[in-house]
Amino acid sequence: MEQTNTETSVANDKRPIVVIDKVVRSYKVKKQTIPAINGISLSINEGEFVVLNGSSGSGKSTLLQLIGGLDKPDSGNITIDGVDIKKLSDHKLSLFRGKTIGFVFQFFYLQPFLRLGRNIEVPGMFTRLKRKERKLRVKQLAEIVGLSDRLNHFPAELSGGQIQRAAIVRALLNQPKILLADEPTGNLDSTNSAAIIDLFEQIRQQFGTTIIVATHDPNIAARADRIITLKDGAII
Amino acid sequence: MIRLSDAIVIAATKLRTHRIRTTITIILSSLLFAALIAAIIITTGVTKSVAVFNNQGLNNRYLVWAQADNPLFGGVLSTKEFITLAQQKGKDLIIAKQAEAKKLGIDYNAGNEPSATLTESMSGQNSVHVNFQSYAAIEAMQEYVKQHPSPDLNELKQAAANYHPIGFYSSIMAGLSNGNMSIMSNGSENFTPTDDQRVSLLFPGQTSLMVDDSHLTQPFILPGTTTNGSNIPLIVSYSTAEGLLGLPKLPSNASTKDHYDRIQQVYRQTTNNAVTVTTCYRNSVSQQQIDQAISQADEIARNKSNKDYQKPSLIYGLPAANSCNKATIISDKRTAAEKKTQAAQDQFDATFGQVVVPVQQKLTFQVVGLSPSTSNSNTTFSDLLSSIVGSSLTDGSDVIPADLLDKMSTATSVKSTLLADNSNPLAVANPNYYVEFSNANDARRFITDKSCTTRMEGTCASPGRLFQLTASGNNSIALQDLQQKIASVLGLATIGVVVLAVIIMTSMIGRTVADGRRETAVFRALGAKRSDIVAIYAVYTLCLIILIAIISLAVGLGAAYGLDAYYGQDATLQAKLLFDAVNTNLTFRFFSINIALLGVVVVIIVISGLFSMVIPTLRNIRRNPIQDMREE
Repeated sequence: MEQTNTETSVANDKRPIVVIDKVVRSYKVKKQTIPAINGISLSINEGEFVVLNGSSGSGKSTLLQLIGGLDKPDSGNITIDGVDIKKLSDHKLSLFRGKTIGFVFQFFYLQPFLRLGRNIEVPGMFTRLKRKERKLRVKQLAEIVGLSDRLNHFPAELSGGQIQRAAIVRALLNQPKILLADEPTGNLDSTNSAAIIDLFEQIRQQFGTTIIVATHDPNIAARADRIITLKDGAII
Repeated sequence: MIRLSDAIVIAATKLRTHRIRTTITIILSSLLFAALIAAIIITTGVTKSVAVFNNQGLNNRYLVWAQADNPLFGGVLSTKEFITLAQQKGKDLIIAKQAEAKKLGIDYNAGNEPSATLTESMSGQNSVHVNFQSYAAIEAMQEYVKQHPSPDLNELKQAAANYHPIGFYSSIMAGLSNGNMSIMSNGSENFTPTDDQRVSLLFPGQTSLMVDDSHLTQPFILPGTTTNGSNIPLIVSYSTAEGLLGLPKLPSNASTKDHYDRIQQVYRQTTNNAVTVTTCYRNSVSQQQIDQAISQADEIARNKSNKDYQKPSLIYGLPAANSCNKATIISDKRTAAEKKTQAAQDQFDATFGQVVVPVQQKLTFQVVGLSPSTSNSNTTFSDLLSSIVGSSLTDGSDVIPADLLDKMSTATSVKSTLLADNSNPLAVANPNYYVEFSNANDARRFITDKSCTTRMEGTCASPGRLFQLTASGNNSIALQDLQQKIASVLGLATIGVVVLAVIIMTSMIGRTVADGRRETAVFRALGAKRSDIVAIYAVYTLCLIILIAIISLAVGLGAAYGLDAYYGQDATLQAKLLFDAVNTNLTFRFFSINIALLGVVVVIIVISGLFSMVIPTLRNIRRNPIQDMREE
């Protein structure tokens, strides 16, 4: 087992849900090729809480996007929940992503002119989840994160922590097996950050969701099952 | 793909994001399409109104006026052949006159006989011309015309045979070949008319007097008018009738309503009362004797106290002013020999084409029809409009309906005065005919194919094309062309509006889509397929289009309705004047909705809007969402 570029799951009693095998991804900036991910192999088990750590430009966001199927590797394979996503067409990959993966962003990216309830419903619109079912899930999830009384508000009327909680709830609407979060507490104060970390933990406990977070936040890292540190596109 | 209701929810948020940009786009595009819609509604209204008014007068008919060349035009009179003929006629005339003078026992000096030709020296070169004062030249012209007659109706029928004509009508120019007419105001003749009054054929402003086929005159005949059998029926313009009724001219700044009221007044008064005008016709001898009576009376009065003054042997007197009789003879002290010599001289002159007998006749014209006045000036918009869309039978002439003229008890004597052959072939009006077609295309083709090209001197340049052909009576052909032009201009305007609107909408939607790249990336991360993104932007564009369509329709309909409300009444009055529809309840509308055409515009708005969306959206969905997120 290669110690630098390869990580294996520590939770051996569960099946691997993310398997990354010798993945390489580089970007062309002007005429220069910049390697972002440099031959990483990685396995993450179902229900695991993994933190991707590393300095800015280390490749953690790129790795997150590759796992989420938003980007494709130059070489190597990525298997998510037993599906080699490299082989999926754009259409099938979108369907797969919508049902299997939930995304949480640093800047939340809620629709400013949609009320919170509708904002949370958005992923369900793309998977053609029935309206009634969407409403029910929104209600249940909002209750879990304490936003029941905020569903008719616009994002501008909420605090940063409330918005991020709403964004996490939005990511969970389609009941994904994997939750990917890119610097979820990067824009929050310590109180709200702590609440978000608690929420991740609660989600994992309640739904068995695999959580992969790219972050600098040591508080999140402290709660993770595993910390994978990246440097120059490689696991160290 | 995303449900329509969900796409609408997301698309609606986009309409709220860039409000100023969206509002400007909606306003600009709406105004463009509104202008197009208004133009369509107004054009439809005007076209329908014109079609309704077009059934008045000659407007709905396709008439072509055909005039044959005078065979003496086109340099014939300068040819060596004709000069030789005229000179020969001059020699023959002198011989004939010498023989006749000898027979009648009167003096004849051949040296005083005007030569048939004149020689003129120009730039050292002699050129020979016909002397129009010479009776020999007139004889030569008569002979030439006899040998080269003008093309007649049969030849016109032959020329028009392939163009599906539906009628051929004659129009004869009436003329006073020898003499003049003057109006007997209040029943009295003015024996000293001004030159203007004397040369005028009938009424001031009139250019000619025509006798036209009833197929041409019928639309202008007033309802219920009858003549007493001796009055000459006449169709005059409203302005002439206005003068005959003694109505003062309207001021130049009179409103359309004033004009309309005046026209109605003229129509009413002319229809209800027999409007007549009595004239006195005198031939040149009759007029000469009247003039002589006046000058003799003047001379005698001036020499009243002159004992040496010897009165003329034959003194003429004026007839009763209301009689239109020939001059009376107050005293005739001529000797028997003098009378005999004068009788022989009269016989001699009559033999060689001179009029020697006084002819006069009281002619009473009765207005039986009215035709819209035509304007030659085109100085005002109304004049211009009148010349474009109006129909007029008279075209500056007064017209005698041929059928009514034939019904007159005095038809023969009136015709002998008004339609007398002119002895001078140069003064003979060319034959006039009208050919009627059932549609503008046949009429236009006939004119294009068969009309001669007019030379500088007014003759046909193309051999085989015997007539000068002109659309006449109205501008139906030109109107149809105008309508086609308007349709093509509207078509071009539509293209222009669409292109402009597409540019505006494309740039606006392009910007919105470009601004939404991050949002697209987020949607993609949340599971949106490319087709979902396209659906969202398509619905967004449709919302925009529906707004544009609603505002365009509202503004366009409102503008057209406003124009109709504001100018409709005035236009109706104007149209009634132009189209000779004074006695109708027709209305001229600027507002008429053509559902099919408006539907086409709405479809154009939808298609152009969707077209605006295609390129920016395709560009957007082909982008890598990660790149957009990273750039963000």
